[in-house]
Amino acid sequence: MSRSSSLLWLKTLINRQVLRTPGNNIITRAAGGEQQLGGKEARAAAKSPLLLLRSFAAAPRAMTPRIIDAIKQDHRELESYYDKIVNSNNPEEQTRFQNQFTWELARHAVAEELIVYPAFEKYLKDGNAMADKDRKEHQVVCISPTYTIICSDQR
Amino acid sequence: MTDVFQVKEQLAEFQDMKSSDPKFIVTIKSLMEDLAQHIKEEETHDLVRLEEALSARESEDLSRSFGRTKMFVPSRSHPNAPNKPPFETAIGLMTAPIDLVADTFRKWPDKTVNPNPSTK
Repeated sequence: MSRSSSLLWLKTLINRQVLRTPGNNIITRAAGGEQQLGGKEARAAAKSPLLLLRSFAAAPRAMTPRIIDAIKQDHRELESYYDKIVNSNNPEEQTRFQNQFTWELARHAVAEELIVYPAFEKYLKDGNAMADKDRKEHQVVCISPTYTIICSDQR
Repeated sequence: MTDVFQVKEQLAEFQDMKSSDPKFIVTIKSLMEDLAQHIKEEETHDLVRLEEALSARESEDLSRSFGRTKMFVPSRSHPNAPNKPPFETAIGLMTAPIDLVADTFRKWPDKTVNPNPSTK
């Protein structure tokens, strides 16, 4: 895949996600800060997701939380979805919040591995030990000379 | 830092369970036990130390990257995918579209805070 076509693919992917909005709520969380789009802006964004992407870029810095607050907010949401699941007697509602919980936790966990753990390694003296602890215990990633990725679970 | 891998593995089990499954609640409770431990350690120790080492600007940049990353990573748990960059990046990009297509056929809360990755 050429660079430009993979870029296009990524853009399409992001656009599709922007459009796939149950309940027609258009809420963006640009660069970590949340914004609810106004009527006019939301209508324009619904017509052209590219406009929404542009509004990401224009998001003011002041709206960006610190990393600890961004992560805490995710944690509070996960806890609230968990509460819904365990306190409900309605199987359908449980399924809905099961999906919501999964969606949030799967993305949160991977984003932490990609962004937060490397920051532990970079900024904290014993960060490397801290960040590598779980990974090392359970997984090994190696690349063969033919670049085939081999993963083995070493538990 | 608690065992994130274990959490991911439990999530992989939980995500495909029917809510009528007798093990449904037991499974999420056990997952949440580990997750709560991870949350506590992160919020009281790891992230506090990280914030001490970061300037406001660096912390905001990190949080911005975190938010953006969540837009394109898989929305279901794949515990056997590699868990360290750059491998997870590549594997993530491969599995994310499949998860996202499947997401459109799943049920979501009505007043959903919503499964649109652009919101988070």
